[in-house]
Amino acid sequence: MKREDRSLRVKIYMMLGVYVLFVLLLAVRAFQHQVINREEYLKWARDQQLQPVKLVPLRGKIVDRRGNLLAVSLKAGSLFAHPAQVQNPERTAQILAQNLGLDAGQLLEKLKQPVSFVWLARQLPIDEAEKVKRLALPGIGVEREGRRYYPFRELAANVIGFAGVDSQGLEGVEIFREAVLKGKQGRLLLQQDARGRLLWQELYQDSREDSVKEVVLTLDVRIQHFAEEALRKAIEENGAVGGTVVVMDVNRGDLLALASLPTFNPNRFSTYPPELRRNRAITDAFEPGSTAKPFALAAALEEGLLNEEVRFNCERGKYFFGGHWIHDIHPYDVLTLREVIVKSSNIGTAKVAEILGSQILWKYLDAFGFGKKTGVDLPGEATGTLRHWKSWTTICLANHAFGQGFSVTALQLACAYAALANGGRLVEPHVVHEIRDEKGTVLEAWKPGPERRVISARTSERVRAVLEGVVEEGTGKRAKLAGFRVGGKTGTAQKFEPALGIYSPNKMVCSFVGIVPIDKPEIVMVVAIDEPRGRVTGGMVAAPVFQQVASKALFYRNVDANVPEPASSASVQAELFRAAPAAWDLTEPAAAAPVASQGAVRPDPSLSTLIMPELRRRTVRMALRELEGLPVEVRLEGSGVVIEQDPKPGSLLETGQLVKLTARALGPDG
Amino acid sequence: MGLGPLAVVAAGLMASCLLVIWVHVQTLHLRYEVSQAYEENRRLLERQAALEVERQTLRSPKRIAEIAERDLGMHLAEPRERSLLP
Repeated sequence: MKREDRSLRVKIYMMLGVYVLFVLLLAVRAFQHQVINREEYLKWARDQQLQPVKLVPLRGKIVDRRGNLLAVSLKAGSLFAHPAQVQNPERTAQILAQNLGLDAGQLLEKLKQPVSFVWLARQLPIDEAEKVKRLALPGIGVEREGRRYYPFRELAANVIGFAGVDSQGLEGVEIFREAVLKGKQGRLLLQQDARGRLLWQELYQDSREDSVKEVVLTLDVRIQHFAEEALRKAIEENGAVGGTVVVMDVNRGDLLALASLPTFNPNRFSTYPPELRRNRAITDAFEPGSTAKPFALAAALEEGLLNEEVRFNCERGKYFFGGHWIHDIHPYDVLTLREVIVKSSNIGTAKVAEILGSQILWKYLDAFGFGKKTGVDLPGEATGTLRHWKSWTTICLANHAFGQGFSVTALQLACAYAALANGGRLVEPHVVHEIRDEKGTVLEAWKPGPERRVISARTSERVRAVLEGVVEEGTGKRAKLAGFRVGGKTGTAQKFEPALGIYSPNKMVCSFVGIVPIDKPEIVMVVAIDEPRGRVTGGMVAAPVFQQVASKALFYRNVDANVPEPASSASVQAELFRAAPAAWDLTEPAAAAPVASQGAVRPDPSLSTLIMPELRRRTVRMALRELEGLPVEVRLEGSGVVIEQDPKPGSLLETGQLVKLTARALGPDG
Repeated sequence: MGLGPLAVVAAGLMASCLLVIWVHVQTLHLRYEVSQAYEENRRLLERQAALEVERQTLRSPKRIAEIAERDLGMHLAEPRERSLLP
């Protein structure tokens, strides 16, 4: 038994020895693989398990000054085919057509092309593209791309520009800021199993995220909208071929709106002809016409050669100068320098130019920035033309003074008027306010350049006073704004026909350049209407556009009205109260006192008799504010907007009288 | 040393190996789940971006002005109807 035990024990030890030897061999082999040949096997594993994925470049965003999204890229998928690998082209085309709503015939045509690669559809919504990918059709693939979207469509399209299908900027800010907006091409290694399922790994981090930038523009989409709508209306009403509006901050050169019509939808830019894509405000030069006259005035005042009260013989509308006849639309006898500008006399301006001389007039036109680029951060800016004074003939002197013989862009005109308005500094117009990274950190902000002074602050003030006269009593009356003092100048310039070498008798550019408020300038606006139909002037077609846009723009910029309303409304009421009470029939029935119906200016409360203002259609708060301080007792029923009032508007109020107001909230039906 | 302790050691080793394998399998499952969660996150972010574009489109000043003026009968306040709060 002992011998058997020993034999068994020997066998067990032998087996154990074999086992240990086997384990040792495994350990050695494992050591060889895991330690000695580690790098080689790791490389093999990576090659098998890691799948390189090309990441779509994320193009930066463009937003307006209030953060409204103007351009953004979304992920999209483009469908491609390797025709040689497609097993059943007819059936493949049919399936794709059913899933994507594409034309099966066109797809089949592409699938049968004798090429190795063909795009079937570019920039499909990512959901649709991934649906196709899941079908796993032989020879069909999906490439992830970025697709540019412009949520506000036509709004500011000529400024923003557009990016092409390969996410490269092609126009406007998109191309001018390509270096900032262009996304970084990313590449990511993802671990996947034998069935192609992805496995999370710690390096699952998209490196492109840090590279996405945001370009913040100076534009305000609301002011831009007002400008485009008012311009569109003016173009339609006057049968014009196009037009432009530039709204600029006079002190900083921030472009608040830059409207060009006709325009295009950048989401479908390729369906529009190229001429609609240009930004007329910077690419189209035109003769400024009478809008150039204030520069002759500024030159004369700055040089101390004239003052506003110097009188000129305006020759009753016809004056022979430099071998040519110069005409005024309305004949005048004698006008002061101020009146020459206010009434826009060509003859008077020509005589100012005679006193200035070519060299001085050119010096100022050049200093105001004509004939050279403004340096705005947009592509395709035109310089306009301003010939050197040495090449001028005698008539050129007069022509340049009243805006012929040289051409300007609307933006140049805006900059030059901004200098007239802001105390004499030529500002740098710009459309990019700042550039931020994804987290909102400002990477680059616009900074003003060195000061470029053109005229003194005193001359600026004197020119502004004359420009206010143009709107108050001259050719720009339609630019008047309730509550604000406005200055400006109208212009009606015949277009030059290069082919014929003459000025067209019926093609004109009608313009208006306005500054508001003229006593403390905030914005300058250029309105230019191209070829309006009929015999119209800048004061007739362009000034109303200014009026519409400026009133809304000032509201949105929180600029408070600082002058009483025109005499036709509230101020008349005030005037009536200032008049001797005996001269006014206080027994007049309420209905016969229409001037009181606008009652916004409170009459002198020291008077014992007052007039009931019109409070209907006003909010309760406004109505109570209107009655505040008046010696009456107010009883209010309801809330929202006043719909009834007692006494009626225009009624005489006694001290301590009861005033009943009924209000209700206005619903969608008004 | 008898066979008993050896068997215990072998069982312990086996159990340890199984534990390691179990942990590894669990980790693998978690990695699949995290990958799916990442994928879902990516898809939702893309959806969010698309919805943001849609929201901005609806906020278009032109569209809002049309609704305000045509459907609601609103108009921009006249200067006399405005007051700036301090």
